[in-house]
Amino acid sequence: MSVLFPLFFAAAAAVIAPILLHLLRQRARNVQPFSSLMFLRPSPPRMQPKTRVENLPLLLLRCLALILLAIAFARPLWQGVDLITTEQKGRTLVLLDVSASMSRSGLWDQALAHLDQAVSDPEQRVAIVAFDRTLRPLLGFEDWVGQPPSARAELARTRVRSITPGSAGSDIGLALAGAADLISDDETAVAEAQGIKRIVLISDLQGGRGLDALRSATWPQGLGLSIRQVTSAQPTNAGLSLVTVEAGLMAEADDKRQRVRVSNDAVSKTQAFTVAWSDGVGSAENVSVPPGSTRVVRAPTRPAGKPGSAVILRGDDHAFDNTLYLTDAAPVEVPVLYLGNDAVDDPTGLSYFLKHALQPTRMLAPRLSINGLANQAEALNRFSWVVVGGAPSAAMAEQLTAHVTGGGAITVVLRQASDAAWLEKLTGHVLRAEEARVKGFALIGRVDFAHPLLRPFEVARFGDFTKIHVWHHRTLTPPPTAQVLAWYDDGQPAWFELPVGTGRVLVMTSGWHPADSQLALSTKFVPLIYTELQRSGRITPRPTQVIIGDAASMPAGAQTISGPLASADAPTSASITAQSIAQQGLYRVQTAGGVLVVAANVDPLESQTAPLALETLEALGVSITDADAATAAAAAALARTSERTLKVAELEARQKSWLWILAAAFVVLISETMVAGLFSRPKADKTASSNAEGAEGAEGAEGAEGAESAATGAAS
Amino acid sequence: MAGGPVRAGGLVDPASLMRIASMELRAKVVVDGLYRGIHRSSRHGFSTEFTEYRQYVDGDDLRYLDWRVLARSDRHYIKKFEDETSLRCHLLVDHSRSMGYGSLGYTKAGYAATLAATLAQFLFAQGDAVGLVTFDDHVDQLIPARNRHGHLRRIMHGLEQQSAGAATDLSAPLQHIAEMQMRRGLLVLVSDLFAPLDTLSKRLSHLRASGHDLVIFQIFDPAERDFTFDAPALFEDSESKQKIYIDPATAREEYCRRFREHSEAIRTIASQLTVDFHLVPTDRPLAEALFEFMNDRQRRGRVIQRRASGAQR
Repeated sequence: MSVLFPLFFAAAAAVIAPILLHLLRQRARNVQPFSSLMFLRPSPPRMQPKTRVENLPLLLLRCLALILLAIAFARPLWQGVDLITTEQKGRTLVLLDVSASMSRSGLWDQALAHLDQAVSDPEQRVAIVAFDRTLRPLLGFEDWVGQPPSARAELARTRVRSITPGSAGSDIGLALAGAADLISDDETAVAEAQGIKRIVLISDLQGGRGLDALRSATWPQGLGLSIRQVTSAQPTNAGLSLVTVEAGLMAEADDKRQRVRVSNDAVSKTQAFTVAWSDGVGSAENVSVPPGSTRVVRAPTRPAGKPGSAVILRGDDHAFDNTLYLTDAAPVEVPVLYLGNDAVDDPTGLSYFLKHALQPTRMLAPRLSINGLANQAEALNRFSWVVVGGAPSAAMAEQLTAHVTGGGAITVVLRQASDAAWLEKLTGHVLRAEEARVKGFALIGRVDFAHPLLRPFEVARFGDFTKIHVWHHRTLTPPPTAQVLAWYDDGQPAWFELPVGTGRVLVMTSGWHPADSQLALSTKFVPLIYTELQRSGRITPRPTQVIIGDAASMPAGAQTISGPLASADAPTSASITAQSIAQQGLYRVQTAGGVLVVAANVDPLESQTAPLALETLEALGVSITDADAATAAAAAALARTSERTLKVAELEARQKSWLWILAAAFVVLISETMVAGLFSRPKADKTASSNAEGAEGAEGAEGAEGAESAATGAAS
Repeated sequence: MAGGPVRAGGLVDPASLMRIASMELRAKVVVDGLYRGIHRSSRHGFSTEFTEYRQYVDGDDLRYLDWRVLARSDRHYIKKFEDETSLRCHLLVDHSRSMGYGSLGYTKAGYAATLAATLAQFLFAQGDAVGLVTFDDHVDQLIPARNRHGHLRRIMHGLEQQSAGAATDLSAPLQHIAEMQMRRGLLVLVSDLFAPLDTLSKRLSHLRASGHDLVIFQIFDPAERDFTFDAPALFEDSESKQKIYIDPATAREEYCRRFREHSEAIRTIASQLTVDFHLVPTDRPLAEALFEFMNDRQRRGRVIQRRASGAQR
């Protein structure tokens, strides 16, 4: 027989209470009503002579009830103890952090020492997985088991010696979730090796990408996490990252110098740093960043025509994140085709205003081509956006139809009512256009701001179209599939959009040239044109910065990548994959849209080297078995003890003998009450005293129940 | 009320008296018995006693001008009486819970009420105005002093109402009575006086200072005086419901001493304040108590006469 909570046996000592009560009991406990006690002082209670115990059966019953309660709360179990004392082999998965922050001085040596400890027990099933943003198995469970026990630790050391911390960021949450999965998979595969299972995390616990990945995962039951934290003696660390200019219509500021963000870690000791070009050109900029904050500075001025490739930061203790590679972000070229007969320098035509509106920005470089309506045009799918300013020839109409049906976007401006005729063929709907009779001028009365084209004008201060006077416009009934974007104040549709095949046609029933309206002169024109250009053009912003370890930051459609390059115009070397970019530097990327030079840099999040709070991990349900660096053997012993406790608890829960003992205690209590009642059955001459006994019996029962409830409280 | 057991030495045995349900009848029995015993007693009482002549001053009531003196001597004299009207007597009866104790088959409260009823009957028959104040820790009912038809019945009815009061707190009700600005007269306090002495003394002197004449009847049960208990028990205070364990064998001596000391202290206070104090055990015939009271009053009357020779009306 064994017990779960032996401490509760101490509660059995409570039997002293009824024994004392029986010894101390006062003979007479009858109540004498009296007018006032103001002249009375309490007399000391008289003890029973010697040790004669009154009402022995009652006393025995009360003691028995108390003892039973104590036993019930101690949770005894009857067998199977041998079964659970046998030692069991477990699984240990060593998670080794190889992120950029681990390359700080001294950390890797500490990590290797921890690893030696973690793999010192050859009886366990051990696997080693390195992680930064992804998991990289270094040694599988099967590899480990495949070796003779004496060679296992050496194999692990050999495998680990082959790697060093890289430049990638870290994602501890993902790593832990993945490691938990690996252990679960191994459990499923090798079912007989049950026992304790734990993950040994060897890391600097640098926050990195945080624990989001762990939030969606459920931490398996019984899986412990041992943390072997490596710490650097030098806390000061600052990092560099690029301040990206959002793609947009904004003209670039006068200052063309690159802007870089210097972030200083919260635990840093210094705040004075310098920023300079890696090749020493230009002067060094001094920057003061208090710990825990960031500051954006401009890179030092360089002589014109000599772009630098990297900016470096000096003044902190750790160099891994102090270099920032830069490339020039060339604007994306967007070819636009205008089909119309008006000359580009004719201020009464459409193309004149289109050309002036399509000025290059920092991110976009629109290039307008002009083609006559009758002339044979070059391949239309080369153009991101086609504007039709009139009625095209039959051949051109064919070409346009094919272009739209194949997914192209065109904008048709109806300069005359007859311009709509060719649209009937294109759309397959009857479109009868007429010249509208406008008295004076028409206004754009209603606008559908929900449409993507007009969404930029949604804010009330930009949404006023009523200043645009429309002198002439055409009326036509749009087909039911069309979406009307804007209406004139007489209720006629001004602009509508028709889906055709996989493409779409935007129809404007009046032009922007001065003969038709004031649209080209209004502040709405350029945003409107650019919004349509961005909608219709297949424009993808071209990233110039790649975060090492984050394949998603690669330009879309990257085919071959080569590098690192000595400079932006160095010859191409052997091609690599996006995942294998491990070094900082410049890389040449071949995409569908052309060749790009991108700069691969350390994840800016990696610069924040302050360790994670362990409470965060615990809050996510991770059971941390030994946070500080206790020896592995002690940890294993601890784990074994807790395992045994778990087993015992499980066995006990199955037996539930405490329930029966508790029931017995209640039976005893009930019989105690009955016996007490029997004693207090009035005998003719002893009414008063036996009544008192009855009362005391009831009190005794209450006392026992009180003890029980107290014990329950203690148990809970 | 004829028959041997009722009369004991000419006076009515209280145990028999308490069996009479009607308070009025009880009082009648006692007062009748008293008359029988003291038939020689003079009826000239406490009121309408001439005290002095005084020179008339402007503003005096002309009713009290002694016309004969004026006719005789052509001088204006006022005839002063000790009390122009008959005696105004308020019976202050304690109804607190400690009064509910009784070891003789009737309670102290019952005895006290009967005593008060007897006094009321007696005084009423003399033509004095009688009022009633019952209290526990506050004034419970208040019947102003009157002498008119039916008023006695009202007082008897008030005395019959045995309200189970709370604690004895003589302090608050006595202060209340003192503040009621009643016309000066006789106050008869019937209580067990189980209350702290210092406040009691303060209240009584307050009452005295406001000109009232005071008579105190301390009612107690013989068991309270002698502590006639044998078995140890949990003694329960009737007011606070507090229980303490008492072994009478060891506690009796001290109890009796302290009880005596309490009574003596009250007696001392009473004599200091020139207040009549009567210690009345509940086994004492009521007529005896009443007789004692009357004797005292008579003596007091003379004393007052002497003391009040310079007093205002």
